[in-house]
Amino acid sequence: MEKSDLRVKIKSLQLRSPLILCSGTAGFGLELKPYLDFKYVGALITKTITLNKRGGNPPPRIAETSSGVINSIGLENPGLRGFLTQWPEIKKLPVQIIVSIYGENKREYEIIFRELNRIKEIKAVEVNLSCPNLEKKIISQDKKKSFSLVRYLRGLTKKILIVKLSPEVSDIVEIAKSILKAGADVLSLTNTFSALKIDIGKRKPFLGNIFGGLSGPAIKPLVLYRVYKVYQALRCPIIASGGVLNYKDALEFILAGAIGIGLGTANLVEPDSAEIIFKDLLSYMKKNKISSLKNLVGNGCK
Amino acid sequence: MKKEEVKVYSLDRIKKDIFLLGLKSPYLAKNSFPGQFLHIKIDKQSLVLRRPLSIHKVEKGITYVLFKVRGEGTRFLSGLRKGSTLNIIGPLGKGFDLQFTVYSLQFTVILVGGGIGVAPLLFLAQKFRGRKVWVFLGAKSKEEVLCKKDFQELGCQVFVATEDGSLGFKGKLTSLLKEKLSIINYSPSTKMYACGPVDMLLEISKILREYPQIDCQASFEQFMGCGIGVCRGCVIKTKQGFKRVCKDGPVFNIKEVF
Ligand SMILES: Cc1cc2nc3c(=O)[nH]c(=O)nc-3n(C[C@H](O)[C@H](O)[C@H](O)COP(=O)(O)OP(=O)(O)OC[C@H]3O[C@@H](n4cnc5c(N)ncnc54)[C@H](O)[C@@H]3O)c2cc1C
Ligand SMILES: Cc1cc2nc3c(=O)[nH]c(=O)nc-3n(C[C@H](O)[C@H](O)[C@H](O)COP(=O)(O)O)c2cc1C
Ligand code: FES
Repeated sequence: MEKSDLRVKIKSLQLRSPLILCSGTAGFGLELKPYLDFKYVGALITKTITLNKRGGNPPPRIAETSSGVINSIGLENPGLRGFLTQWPEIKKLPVQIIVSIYGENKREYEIIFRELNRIKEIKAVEVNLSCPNLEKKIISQDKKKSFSLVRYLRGLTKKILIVKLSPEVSDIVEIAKSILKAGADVLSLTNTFSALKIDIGKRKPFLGNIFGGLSGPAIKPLVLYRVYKVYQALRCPIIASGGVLNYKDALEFILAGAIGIGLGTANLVEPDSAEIIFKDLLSYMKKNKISSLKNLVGNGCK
Repeated sequence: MKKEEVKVYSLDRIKKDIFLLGLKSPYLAKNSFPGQFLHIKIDKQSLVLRRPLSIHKVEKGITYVLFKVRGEGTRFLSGLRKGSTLNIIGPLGKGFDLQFTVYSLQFTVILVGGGIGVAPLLFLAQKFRGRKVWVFLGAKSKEEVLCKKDFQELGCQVFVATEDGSLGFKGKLTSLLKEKLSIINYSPSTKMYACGPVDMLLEISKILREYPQIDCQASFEQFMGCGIGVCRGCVIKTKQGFKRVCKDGPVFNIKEVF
């Protein structure tokens, strides 16, 4: 029998699995070691790092809602230097590492890229232009600003440039198009949706930061819609993240046009979700005599 | 710590809304330590996140959790049947530090459990069997006092406070604690372990300002995401910045927090 193949290629990035651990739900990978066999993971996107260390938002930071999770971590991270200190350890993990970054301004991005460019093992960088947990306006909601920023970032690096978008825009295709035109190689669709939970006992917002970002199964149809729209219009490489918990969810995103399947909330629940989903995808493919996953990408797009 | 499918060995209703769940896992029985917790998956589609519950005790190879029904997740657990399976990650977190206490008999041990906060303390008392242990239990009323007999059977001296005075001291547990600390002749090397509502822990830290020689470790709660230290969702504010309850805790020295 022909062997089923789950390898995918995203630009020049050859991945052994389409399953990608999303930023913020896998840390720097080190804590996952006891639970996860990385051979099922295509890539791990680090917690978003910023130039300077950030303490993050006041607790509570996690609220559960029906089929979803609202988080307001607020980009707590040890900063570029902290990341670089841990890099020798991170580098040893048997998985492709993609670094997620966020800068306050062009100068910060310049410094971050100057350091990351030196590390040859890092093949791709994801720029988080969509965190809802910051006081500033979300950059990827502004077409002009994000175009000019991405064009600037393009000039800073030869690495694969992934840009992560906010789902909260009136026309995601327009934004996606302009970001690709500015030089992004891959789009990451999408970050979380701004959300709120109110504690009726205390009669005040539940989260310490009041607002947070909604993820998990609750957002799956919304993100799927956006992935479909963008793929249909632009046929570009897409890493999708929005509520994938099992192989069926993953297949929906693949059929809608995603080549990489992000696992976010799934990692919080099952640290080995990549392994479970990989195996299920493989048996689905064998059963349906599909030789390569690549052949399914965008197949559901009419 | 690892993830495994665990069989329900027993489920008993202890009080109106308090349940004792026994889990059959040689791994958990062997590796669990007082103060650590289990992260339990709720097999219900609308509930995404796991639920953290402290390890209550380990007896004859069975690991127990004691829980109060608060919302949908704990209600689901209260309806489990013997023989059904649960997906559990554990044991997790840093437990109580017993290094000094277990080996040196000079230490007097004080356990303070407010309400369901008594859950992790019984496991601790099991480790202190045969030593001088004072246990302070607090509840709203007599009906809600938990584990009194269990502690007595382990040879602990138990003091109870109820808000309505239906059993023991009438008033807050911390008032009783304060009163007893001022009259009992505690040794200068007393160790205290506490678990309960955060207001109670704050109150204890205030009382202990007058007894700087008493070292107190407390178990804290926070809403959690992953439970394994990855997401930074479960932090509490400490004097050295935010710390993760799931990985740096749940047990902290009370002085680190207040
Ligand atoms: C380290 C640790 C140990 C714990 N040990 C015990 C124990 O031994 N016995 C016991 O009865 N309870 C314990 N709790 C509290 C217990 O986790 C919650 O009561 C339980 O998660 C409530 O779930 P629910 O679905 O019934 O309630 P809901 O209120 O419907 O839960 C909604 C969400 O909030 C979370 N949540 C609600 N209350 C708490 C809380 N107090 N702490 C953390 N998360 C909460 C839930 O996990 C869930 O994600 C512990 C909490 C922590 C952090
Ligand atoms: C706890 C938590 C932390 C997150 N942190 C980040 C982050 O630092 N950077 C980022 O780009 N996205 C972050 N995200 C968003 C996820 O990467 C992902 O895009 C989103 O959760 C949607 O996917 P999901 O439904 O599979 O979780 C975070 C999500 C969660 C739940
Ligand atoms: S719950 Fe994720 S770090 Fe503690």
